[in-house]
Amino acid sequence: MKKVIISLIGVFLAFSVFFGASLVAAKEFVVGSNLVLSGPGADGGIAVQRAVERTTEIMNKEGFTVQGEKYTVNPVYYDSKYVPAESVANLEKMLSGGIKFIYSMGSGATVPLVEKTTVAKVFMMASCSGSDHLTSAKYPYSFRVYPCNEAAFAVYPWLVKTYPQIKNVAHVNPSDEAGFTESETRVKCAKNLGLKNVANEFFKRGATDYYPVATRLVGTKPDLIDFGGTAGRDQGLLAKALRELGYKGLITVHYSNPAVFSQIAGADNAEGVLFPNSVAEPQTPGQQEAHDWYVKKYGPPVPGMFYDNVDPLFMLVEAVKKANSFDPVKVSEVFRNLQWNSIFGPMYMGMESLYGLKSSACRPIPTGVFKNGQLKHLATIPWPSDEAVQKLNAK
Amino acid sequence: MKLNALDYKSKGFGVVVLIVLLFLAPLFSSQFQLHVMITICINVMMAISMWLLSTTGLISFGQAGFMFIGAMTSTLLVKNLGWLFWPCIPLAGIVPALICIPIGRLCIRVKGVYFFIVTLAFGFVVNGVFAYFRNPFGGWYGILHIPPPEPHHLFTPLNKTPFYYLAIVLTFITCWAVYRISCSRMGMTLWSIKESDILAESIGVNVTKYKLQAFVVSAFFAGIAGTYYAHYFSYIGPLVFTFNMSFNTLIYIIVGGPLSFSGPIVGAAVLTLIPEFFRATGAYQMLIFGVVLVLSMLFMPQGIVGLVEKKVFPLLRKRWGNH
Amino acid sequence: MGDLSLIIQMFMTGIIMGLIYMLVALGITLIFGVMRIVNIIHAELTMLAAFFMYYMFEVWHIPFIIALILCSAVISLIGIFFQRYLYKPLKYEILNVLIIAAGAGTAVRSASWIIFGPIARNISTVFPGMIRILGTPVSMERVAVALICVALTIALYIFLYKTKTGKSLRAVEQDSEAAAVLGISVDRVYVIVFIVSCSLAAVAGAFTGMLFAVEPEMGNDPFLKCIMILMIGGMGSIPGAILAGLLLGLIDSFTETLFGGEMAFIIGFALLMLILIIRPRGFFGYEA
Repeated sequence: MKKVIISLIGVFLAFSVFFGASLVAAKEFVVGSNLVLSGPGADGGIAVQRAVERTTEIMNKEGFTVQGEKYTVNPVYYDSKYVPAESVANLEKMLSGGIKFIYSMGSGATVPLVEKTTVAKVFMMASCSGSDHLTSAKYPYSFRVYPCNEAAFAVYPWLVKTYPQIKNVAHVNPSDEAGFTESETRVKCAKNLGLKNVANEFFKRGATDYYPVATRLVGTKPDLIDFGGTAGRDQGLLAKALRELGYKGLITVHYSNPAVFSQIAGADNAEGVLFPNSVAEPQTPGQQEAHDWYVKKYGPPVPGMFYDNVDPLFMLVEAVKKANSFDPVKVSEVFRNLQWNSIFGPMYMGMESLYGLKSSACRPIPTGVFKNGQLKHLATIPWPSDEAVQKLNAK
Repeated sequence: MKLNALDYKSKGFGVVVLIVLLFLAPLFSSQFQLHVMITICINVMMAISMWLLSTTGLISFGQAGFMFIGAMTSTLLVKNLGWLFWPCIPLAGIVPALICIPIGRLCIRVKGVYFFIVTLAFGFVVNGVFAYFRNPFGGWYGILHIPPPEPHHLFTPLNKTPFYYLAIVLTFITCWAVYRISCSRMGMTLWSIKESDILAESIGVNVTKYKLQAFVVSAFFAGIAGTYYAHYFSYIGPLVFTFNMSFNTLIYIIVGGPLSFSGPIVGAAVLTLIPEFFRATGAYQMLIFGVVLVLSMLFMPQGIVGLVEKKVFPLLRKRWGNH
Repeated sequence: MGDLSLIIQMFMTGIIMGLIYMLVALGITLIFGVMRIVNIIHAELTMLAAFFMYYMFEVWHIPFIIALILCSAVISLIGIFFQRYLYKPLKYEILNVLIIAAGAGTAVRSASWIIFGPIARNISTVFPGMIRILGTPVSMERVAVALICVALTIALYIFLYKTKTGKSLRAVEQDSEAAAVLGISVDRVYVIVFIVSCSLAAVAGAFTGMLFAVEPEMGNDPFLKCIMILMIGGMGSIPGAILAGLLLGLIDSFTETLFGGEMAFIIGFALLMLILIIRPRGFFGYEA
């Protein structure tokens, strides 16, 4: 037993020696990046990481000035593995290291953090859904930097206008936080626009075979199947199953990497599928630059989430510069009111009617359609007005 | 078996030193270090409760299931029925223990290798049941915003120290209880069952009864670990208490040293710390953990404690003479 | 979709998926039968095979059959490497092997994320088109893969029961000491069973990558199903794997299509517990 005690003491001492170091060096703006870098969802996480990489590269060429001193950006990456406990541990490590600005993604990994970041007055911006569990008046320092289920408020009115033949809508989502939020919003939008919701299916993310879910969906005879929060290879496999089962109607796919989608579904099955919030051919100079950078460094195809996460870190630095301070409370206020010219067009924090304060990104939604083996740009959907959002969000 | 070689005086002294160090820890640790210590405590509670069961030779893969039941018990009582946290602690142990009685009876009827399969299935069934019913079990999504223990102004998200002390106390109670059991007559009986249950039965030991008792006790402490988890992390769900968690518990025991009481404790501590060293490496963290696991199995087949006892202590003894 | 068409669809999906899972399960059960260890790395071997086939067939345009044979060889080599340097030093003790395999599996999966990156891929189908079975459209590739699974199972049977090597495998499975006494090299048998199992894994990986997606996590879901199949059919039993595979495939297909994924999950596990309570060793498992 004594030997045990000695070994335990040794372990304890070793532990206390190694963890004291602070992570924030002078003249560096440290942004803790809590991303999903392994396990399911890692495709999104790695795309975000690369976007952050690019922003850092560009910003650090010149650096930026706050209160007369020059700073560079230093993103420190943590892998949350999409496991809540790991994400919490990452947060603790970041807070212990003095980090005050966090960039997170994956709603399952981010939502458990927001209580603590609010109490600790730490700025957190996230690329994930989570609706009012993530952004609300209760969490004034938490922001959503890329329209998730909120995009439905822009997309549905456009769908109804462009495809008046749609009467019945079927929804399919993964059975987790993101999926439930998406489903709720989309079902509401469809209903408030006079469409009939004929199905609302959920499946386990990462499943192998999609025939059962597809069979259920096709059986309800929809005109449009909305993939909602479905992401990654699940989308391609589901679309493949739907087409093989004879479904000929419309499909909308969000959070997508169209090249991957078509590879997995098969080019024939991808034909005619709509991709809201996806960049087909770069439409603006900003998109072109981002596209070229990625292709040069990692080769095509460029993942959708890369484009979506190009702007947030730039916006954050801009807010810090404008606030001329590294105080998360001050920066949050500036960030909330920032008007930014993103690669998609004008971008700003909004959705006050939904969440009680401006905290979720609003910007134009580029939409593509898959034709002849390639994604072609179809339209850029403008962001709806606040009144329109309120009408669509009615119970 | 090292139980005969105990020197009670030096053991007592060692425990006191350890207790003092642990209670002083918050004075010189950061919040993150406290968080890691708390995680170690939870893992130790799980590992040591499973270890008790393994001394009978039964390997269970369903510990996460019992943890989940315990966590769910106190969560529902506190969140939905407005109970205070403190009376829920023993309940969070008793409910899984009660559920374990019929389940355990069914599982123990099964021989050796198949026991772990049945408990594996049990873990999945618990997850499945809680995942299916969104009300009140939270479904796949789980339950968020579980309130911390009272008083709320003491147990805030900003200050880990009260959580830390609570974890230390619970861990000590668990370890002390398991240690007493394993040293007692019942513990000796459990060891004898592991050696040969046919032989044990032939001298009149009611093997099934003892196996069931060990199983129920391990479920009890797993439940307590689960409830602490729920009120510290404030989030539980089927994606938390997975087969991975049960499997990790097994790894702590085997890598730490399955034959002695300190094995699971050392294993849980070391294997929780190693990924922490590499947390900032991002995607390489799990890669390194996998490699470390492989290497430790190859070079330390009796676990860390086994290695230390066989190699390190004889060396120390030669240098410093016998204690 | 008419009612009869629906039933036929569910039936075919069930059979096809059941056969694919069975293929993976066969590899694991074979090793368990002969060596009494659970080779968890099988899932990662399937995944590596899929990536290998992707690069060979999709990127470098090597003919499919040749690529498949090369793939089997490479995966077998990797498998034998694991067997010799990871399992053998642990003396094939089941718990220790479980843990070292879990560690190796985690390492391989993480390395795959780092090396191959986040983009999911797909192997172009070698069997394009749709055919009609009893009036219901089915994709050709699903039918072809199902038939290949059947063919491989028959081949496995012939190998085990009609060839000398196969018989030596069964001898070691029944009693390794007696087999050694009879002059059978147990070590050689272990290597052979690994080659067979890895070849099955290679084929499973290639076809799963073709029907579904190629990505580092692709082994997880099939592996979970396989564990259930092995529990129900009996660890180490080949007829058990076949029967349980088909049964599970059909049950999954029917319950998920009719009741939705969440209900199907519960029904699957409830059934599992039921069978394990009534007959813990599964249909044809060993009397422990």
